[in-house]
Amino acid sequence: MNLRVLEAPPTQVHVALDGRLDTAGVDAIEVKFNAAVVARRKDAVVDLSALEFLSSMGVRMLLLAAKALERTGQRMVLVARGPVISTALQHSAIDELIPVAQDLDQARAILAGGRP
Amino acid sequence: MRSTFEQRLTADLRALSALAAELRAWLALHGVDPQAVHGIDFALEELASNCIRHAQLPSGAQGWIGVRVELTRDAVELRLDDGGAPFDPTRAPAPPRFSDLASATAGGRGLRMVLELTPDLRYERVNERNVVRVRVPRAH
Repeated sequence: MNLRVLEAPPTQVHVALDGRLDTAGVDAIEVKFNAAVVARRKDAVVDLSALEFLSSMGVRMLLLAAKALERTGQRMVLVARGPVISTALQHSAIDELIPVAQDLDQARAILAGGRP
Repeated sequence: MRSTFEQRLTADLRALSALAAELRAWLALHGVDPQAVHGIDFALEELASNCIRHAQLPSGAQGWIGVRVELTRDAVELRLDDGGAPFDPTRAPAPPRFSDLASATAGGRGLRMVLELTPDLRYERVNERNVVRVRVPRAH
């Protein structure tokens, strides 16, 4: 499980996750993820395009981070492509709470457009 | 033609991760469709991790989860059995619907996600053990 912090505008943080966000993957990455996404208190784009597997524990990690951001006035947008991750987001219903973009440009547009 | 993968999983999340990797490799070796592999992989992850975290498995020699995967011509069937307290995942209460981010609760989604992805899931209690069978088509 890997996390990369990508170049982003000053008011945003962009991270990309790759690998398996299963229970073991969450154990391995959650502290680093929260440090990169929540602690910075910026709007966040979380790119799941290279993720191979998303479990309910992975959904939980994303949801808790989005809730923490909202408490300080920031938002999270997910980027997901491909059926495996998109289906997991739909089945968990987390896509009803956190916007899901097809690509980085769409994610930036969602953040620029205010609350969806 | 039938082929079988069978192991005893100790109640440990790291052991689950290792077993899941071994199972994925075994299914790929047998030419199982990637979508079917994902269905079995997902059901194993959610059901076994839920059992390890919540089932209060007996300690010692009885504290294991039986994992058996059988390939038939048309399907892949995952069978999990454990000696924890009786628990029927098909009767687990549905998680509350989300209304807004502030009030959303994070837990309780895994079993619902399994039932959505692999709806052919059956439960029975056999010889003081929970037995769950998940069946997915071998090719989509």
